[in-house]
Amino acid sequence: MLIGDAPTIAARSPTYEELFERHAGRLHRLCGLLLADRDESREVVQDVFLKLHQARRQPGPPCDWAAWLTRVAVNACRDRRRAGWWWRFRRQSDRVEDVTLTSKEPTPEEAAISKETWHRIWAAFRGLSDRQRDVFVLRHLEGWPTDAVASTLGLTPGSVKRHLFRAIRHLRTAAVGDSA
Amino acid sequence: MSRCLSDAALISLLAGDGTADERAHMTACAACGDRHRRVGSELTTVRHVLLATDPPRTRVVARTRSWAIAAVAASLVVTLAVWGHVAIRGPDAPGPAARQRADHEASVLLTEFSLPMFSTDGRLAASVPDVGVLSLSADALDRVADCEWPDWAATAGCDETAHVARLLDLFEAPDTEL
Repeated sequence: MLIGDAPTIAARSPTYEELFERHAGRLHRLCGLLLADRDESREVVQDVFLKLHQARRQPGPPCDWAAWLTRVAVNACRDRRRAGWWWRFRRQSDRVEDVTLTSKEPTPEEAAISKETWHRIWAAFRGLSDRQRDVFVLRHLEGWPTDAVASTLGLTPGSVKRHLFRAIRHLRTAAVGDSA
Repeated sequence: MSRCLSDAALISLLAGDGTADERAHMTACAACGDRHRRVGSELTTVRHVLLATDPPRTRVVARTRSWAIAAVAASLVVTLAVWGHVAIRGPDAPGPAARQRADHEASVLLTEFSLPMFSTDGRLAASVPDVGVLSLSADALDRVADCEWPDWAATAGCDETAHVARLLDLFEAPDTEL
């Protein structure tokens, strides 16, 4: 859970290097999931940390930098998606391999997942609408509460729940396979 | 709450939302508890795949093929549109009907110009070409040799037809006659 650690952050304002080391990998993974493009996600993360650098120099910085960084990254990804047909063309035609992930070592659980299931889940995730993908990533992968997701995406909590239900139903079908 | 929970309610409970009644029912109902655990397990698998594995690399080929198909289809549509435009409107050069119409208009125009030119007494010589220029024999041409202006009416053997024929000869061969 990344939201709610405000008291810890407020005790001592972290340096830029500390924030980068703590959140760069997470933001790379988050933007990679939202954009499905490694180059685009790298550019977005660079922009996010540039904004972090500027925000730290302004008066009244946010007390929860983790939530601030995530919100800025999500909004930057949404801006990229709205950038026009050229971005959509790149997103649909560029390579999608080598997304930076949290772990490279195959765990027993990972080894237990069949290649077919793995392929189905990724295909289902890419088949989600932008809104469903945003909601699922923030709610289930980032662990944000429903109200925070709604506030960040400009939705109502009820709309967030509906998008989340549709996304999970789609992904569950992929996870279970034809036997569902 | 006696009825079993819906999938939406189970997902809401998994996300930490849900009502107290729904939580109580899930605790009491074995079937809903099993469904809750099964959905949780599936979501754990999904979360693990998305967070800890690389995405597949088979998308480039499929997308490239789709774009190639779209490009070929677009070029076919353009080709058909151009072909249809030409087939419907026809080429820029006039067809046989247009050429005939143009020839008729030119003929009418020339006739309108030529009739006043060959008028002898203020009247339009509408029948001049049919008077007999082409049908005059050599004897008739000799006979009308003197049928010129202004004494043709008093000349023996001269009539209006011979007079007009003579005038036509003068117009057609000005170099030799004048």
